[in-house]
Amino acid sequence: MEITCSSKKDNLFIFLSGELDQSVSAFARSTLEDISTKNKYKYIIFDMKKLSFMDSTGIGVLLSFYKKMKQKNVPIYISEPNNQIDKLIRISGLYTVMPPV
Amino acid sequence: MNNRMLLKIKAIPENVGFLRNVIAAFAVPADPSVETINDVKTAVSEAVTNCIVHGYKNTVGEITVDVELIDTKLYIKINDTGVGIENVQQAMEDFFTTETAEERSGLGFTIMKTYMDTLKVESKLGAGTTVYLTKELIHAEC
Repeated sequence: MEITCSSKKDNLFIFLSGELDQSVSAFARSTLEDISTKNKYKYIIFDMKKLSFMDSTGIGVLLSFYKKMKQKNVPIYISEPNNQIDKLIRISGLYTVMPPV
Repeated sequence: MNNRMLLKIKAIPENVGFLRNVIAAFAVPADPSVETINDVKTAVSEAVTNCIVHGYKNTVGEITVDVELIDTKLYIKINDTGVGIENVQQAMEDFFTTETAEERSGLGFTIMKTYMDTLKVESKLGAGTTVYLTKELIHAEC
């Protein structure tokens, strides 16, 4: 998978692409950990347009990032998940802490 | 169509994607919808990840997968010979996880249960765990 970022004013877009499962969870965790220690953003948006698959390992990775950003009072939103990921996010309840945009 | 596949593979994270994709491909001749295939892929991903993370605790063992397609019904059996689960009932509760070192959602069994028609778990401490999943791949339209 790939994780890239782009900031617009004080908002940060995090683009996820490929598949987010156990095989890339260490990479995803450390990349998001780096992002969480950087500048303070007003909003963070996960752009999932190019993320083709995610399982509950991915939910764990996103939740751990959410907890770090919550300490900084930075809200996180989810944009354009595919049907498989949208269903997983609904069932896991992740939308309650990372609403869709 | 009746078909059967038996696979033995190393329990490494790189094989999670391989196994979910190969089982999805095995189910394709029944002509399931994209959503049904995605449900199977997600459930398999959860079961295989459990073998690697919990069964073998990141030591390398083997995962055995036995899949049968009988007409339009898929029967999946995923086995590890790892540490086993002390309390299966507790492990199947939503958000329950034994892994506290890294953030895990504790949703693996919940997802398997929600996405498949049936889920059965057999486990013995020190001997391993077997997960049985079934799913009817074709639903008659109303």
